[in-house]
Amino acid sequence: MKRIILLAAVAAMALVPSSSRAVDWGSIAGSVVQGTVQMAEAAKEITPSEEHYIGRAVAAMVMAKYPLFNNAGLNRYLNQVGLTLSSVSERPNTYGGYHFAVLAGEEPNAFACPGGIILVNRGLLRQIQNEDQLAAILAHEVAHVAQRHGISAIKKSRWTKLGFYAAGEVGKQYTPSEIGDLTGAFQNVVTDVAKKVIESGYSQSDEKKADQAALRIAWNAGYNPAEMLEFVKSQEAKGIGHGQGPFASHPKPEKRIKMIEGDLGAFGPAATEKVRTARFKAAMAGLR
Amino acid sequence: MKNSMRIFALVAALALISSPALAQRSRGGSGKSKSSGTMNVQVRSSTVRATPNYLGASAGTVSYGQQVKIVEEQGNWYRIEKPSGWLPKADVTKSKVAVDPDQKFAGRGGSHDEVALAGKGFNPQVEQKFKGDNPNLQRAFSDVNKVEAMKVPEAGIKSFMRAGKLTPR
Repeated sequence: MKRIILLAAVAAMALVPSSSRAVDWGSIAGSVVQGTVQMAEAAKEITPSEEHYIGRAVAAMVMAKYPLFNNAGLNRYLNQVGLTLSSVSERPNTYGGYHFAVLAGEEPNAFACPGGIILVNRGLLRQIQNEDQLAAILAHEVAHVAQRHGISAIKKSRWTKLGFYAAGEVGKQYTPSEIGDLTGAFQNVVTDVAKKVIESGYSQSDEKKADQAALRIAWNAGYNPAEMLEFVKSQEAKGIGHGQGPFASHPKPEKRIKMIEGDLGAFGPAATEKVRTARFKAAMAGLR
Repeated sequence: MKNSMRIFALVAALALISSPALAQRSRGGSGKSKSSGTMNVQVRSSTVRATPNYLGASAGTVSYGQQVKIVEEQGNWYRIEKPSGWLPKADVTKSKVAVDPDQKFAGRGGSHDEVALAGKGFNPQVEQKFKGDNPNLQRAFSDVNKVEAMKVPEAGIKSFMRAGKLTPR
């Protein structure tokens, strides 16, 4: 990192017109180096392994609110559908892999934790009519993970400390006090992401991108992407998605329906196979 | 004048800083091209595929920290040597990676630098301290472990797809 900063500063110096070099150069160079150091720190990327540990902590915060729904058959089915979808997504693998689970929450909601843990409240499963609709919803969550929407919630003010540890001296082991400091940074980062995943939801722009990617993922896997439209329409008919509630951060249903209808034009006809609907219903019997 | 020069210099510096990151993030496109160089595996494990397809036949596996030689790229995939086959681009990085965030390879040797790098960033040690600081999350972390322990073998996914008349497009 230090070499990049030095190169950038040197290049910046070369790009400044020569006639100006006599003018308070020390101040300019100082300003450039200071600015580049700050930006280099901000550019420190969360690695997939760090994303994994952030995601585990966020998932723990979700599951402190909604415990795991212990039904092995239902959870296995959710993983079968979910892994079918993640395997054809733009990011088929993560540091720890994708994992899907049903939670004992009645609020119709789903949570995409960074790194690939995707949690679905049983209250949401009760709203779904068939496997292809479930696939559309899980594909939407896979897209949030693949596009790292959760990680983007980390406030810029956290980067200085993260950059400090990323640029730390090689060959040095952390002291207990440094581990405490790093854990404090971890707590802040996890809180930022959990707030977005659990409370405020993703931006409408991220939701739109996730919808578009979900249609592509569902189609690539062999599902009927039009079932996403059917699901959103059914939610609108029930008045879900207007104002408050778990889908409040998504575009309003009428707007979302129009966007999905437009995006569906990119795909050919597809069938919602009865064999899939039958196994979906058999799996959902585990909800009772 | 002085301010405008500062801005210009800063923009130039930032452009230089961001360009390698942009190049590394450029994973789109489906064109096939020659590529070379070594990269490091940044996921716990990854199956090397005989074809650039996540459900393609296995040609071996690679693990976190392993160096691989890139010989070609196609869309979101790199073709590597030893084992010969394809890996998702997101599974490898040009950056030096912490060798062992899970401490799985502890005691197996490795350079001093590698051992030191393993301590950087958010890792199991930090999670342990975080759990200690948040005792209200103990039960939830136990649930998270159960979720991560749920596994469906790849053969199971393939048979699930066949049974559901799912043909990847």
